[in-house]
Amino acid sequence: MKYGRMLLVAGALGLATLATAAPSALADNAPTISPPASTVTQAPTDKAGPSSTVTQAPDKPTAGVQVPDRPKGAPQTGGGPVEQSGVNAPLLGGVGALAAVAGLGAFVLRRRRATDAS
Amino acid sequence: MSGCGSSAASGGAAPTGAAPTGGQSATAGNTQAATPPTQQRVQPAGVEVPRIGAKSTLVPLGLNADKTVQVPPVEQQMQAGWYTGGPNPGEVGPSVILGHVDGAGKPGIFNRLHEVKAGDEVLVTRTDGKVLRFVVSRTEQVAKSGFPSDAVYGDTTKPELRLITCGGSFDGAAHSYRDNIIVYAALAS
Repeated sequence: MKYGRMLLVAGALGLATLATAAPSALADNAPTISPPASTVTQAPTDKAGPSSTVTQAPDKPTAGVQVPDRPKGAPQTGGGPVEQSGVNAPLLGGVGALAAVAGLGAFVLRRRRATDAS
Repeated sequence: MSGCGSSAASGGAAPTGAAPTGGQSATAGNTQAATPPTQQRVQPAGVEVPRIGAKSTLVPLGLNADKTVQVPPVEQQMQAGWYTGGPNPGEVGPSVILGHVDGAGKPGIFNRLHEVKAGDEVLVTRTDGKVLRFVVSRTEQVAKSGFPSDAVYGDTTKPELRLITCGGSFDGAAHSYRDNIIVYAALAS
């Protein structure tokens, strides 16, 4: 009878310890899985912040710090072709001189022929 | 007669008077970031391009009311100038020197700028007597409608120089050349 009681008590104690230990074991498992999952997802977002600011940094110098007052449009640095005012006059003078020489030559030739014929 | 200098000249072909002073005050604002204070800045006094036999003193050029860059008077076609709204030659950044291709029916100081090639030298004399030697890295002829503002005025990592004049064919109706000739150079040493 004593052995039977002892067995019953031992069995009851065993069941009781099993019943109390199982939930705690499950509870231990649950948090150990979920927290790492959350930190893993947070980590990339933390890294994304600094990396995006780093890529923006090199773009800033190209804005133009050294010439803050950047002129608009293209520089207008010419008064017009030189030929328009400077070259035409001598060219016309040369053509006129050539025509005068040719006319004089023709006149002299005619006169010579006329004197030879007479 | 008026030519492509006229549109800028209407706002002020530059070298004398208040406009350049305004340009210099703008430069003073710039000095805090990249260059020494204005009092300590040595200004350019002259420019020489041996390849094309161009040599001139330099006058300060600012901005016109319409924000276009000033140029020397078209009647003084042999006069070059530097833009005071940027770094002076020898300072880190793009210094800009402008000169006419022609004016008053005569060739201008940069009439032969299109003949300059990579490797040619450009000498800039400063008011302290020092001569800076720049070496041409490249040249280009671009339509004014597509003027490369970023390439000309954008930040650089070392002292650089731009020589600019007009080029290409002349648009009689607009009294303006259609292109610009731009020479890019960097400080030799």
